[in-house]
Amino acid sequence: MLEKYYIITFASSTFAMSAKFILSSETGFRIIPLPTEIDASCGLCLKIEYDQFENIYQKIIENKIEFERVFICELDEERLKCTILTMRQQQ
Amino acid sequence: MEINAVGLACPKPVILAKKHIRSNPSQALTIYVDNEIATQNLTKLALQLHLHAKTTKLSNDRYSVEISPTSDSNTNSEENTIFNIPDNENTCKIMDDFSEDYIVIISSDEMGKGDELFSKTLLEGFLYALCEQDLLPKYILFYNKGVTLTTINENTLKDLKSLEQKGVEVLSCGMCLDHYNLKEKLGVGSITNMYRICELMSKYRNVMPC
Repeated sequence: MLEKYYIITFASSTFAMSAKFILSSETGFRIIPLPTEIDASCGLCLKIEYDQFENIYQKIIENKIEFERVFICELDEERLKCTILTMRQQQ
Repeated sequence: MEINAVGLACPKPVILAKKHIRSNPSQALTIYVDNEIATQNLTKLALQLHLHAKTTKLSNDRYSVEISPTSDSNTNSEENTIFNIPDNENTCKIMDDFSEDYIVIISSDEMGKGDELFSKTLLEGFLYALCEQDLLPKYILFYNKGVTLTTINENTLKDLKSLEQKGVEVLSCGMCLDHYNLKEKLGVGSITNMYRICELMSKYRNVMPC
């Protein structure tokens, strides 16, 4: 079964943790370890449910949360494929 | 695929077979060995991996073990040839040594000691990553504050339900659920007691992220 979701990466885990804190009243997202398909380094990222992306992304922009990249990911038969959509937002 | 393990001392045939099976789980494999102990160990490996194994004695010092995927585990016991192996000190008997079974033990709602929110996020990340492992644990045990992960943490509940669907048994300590007033909120797996926890911890390899 194909699962689609969005991933937002950050410059460091600290930014990911602040995003988690700022978005704590929202649903449809969670912090996960950075998938190795995106980057082999150790880090945290935001995983956003496909149908919740618009809402969460808007909150990220409104709150000026610094991120690096946005990916659309497809998980099919244990194979994860992520495509970059947007580059960084920095204050 | 064929592997010629004739002349190789144990546990080499099992290691070679296991390596091949891990890389090519859906491919049938025939391994040639020169002793009955090796055929037993290969058969046991296949059973542990829920695969079908069939041993054929080709000559006094040559056997073949065919390992293949099966959807019916009952065929294993019917078709596997089990030889009577004399108890010989010089004979290699690895039997259970190649077992990859392990259990995960969660004793807290944090992974390691440090910043609280960060440590909680790390543990949630651990369970998320566990879902994606090729080799899953047989059991995940939760005790002390770890039981919050089987009750009130929505992120971990989702991952644990996914693990449960893949055959992992999720067990929470009953008195811990009582202590934290969470018994009514158990959202995944079942309740266990300290005797079972003790038994499982001593029986399997322990992975303890907390």
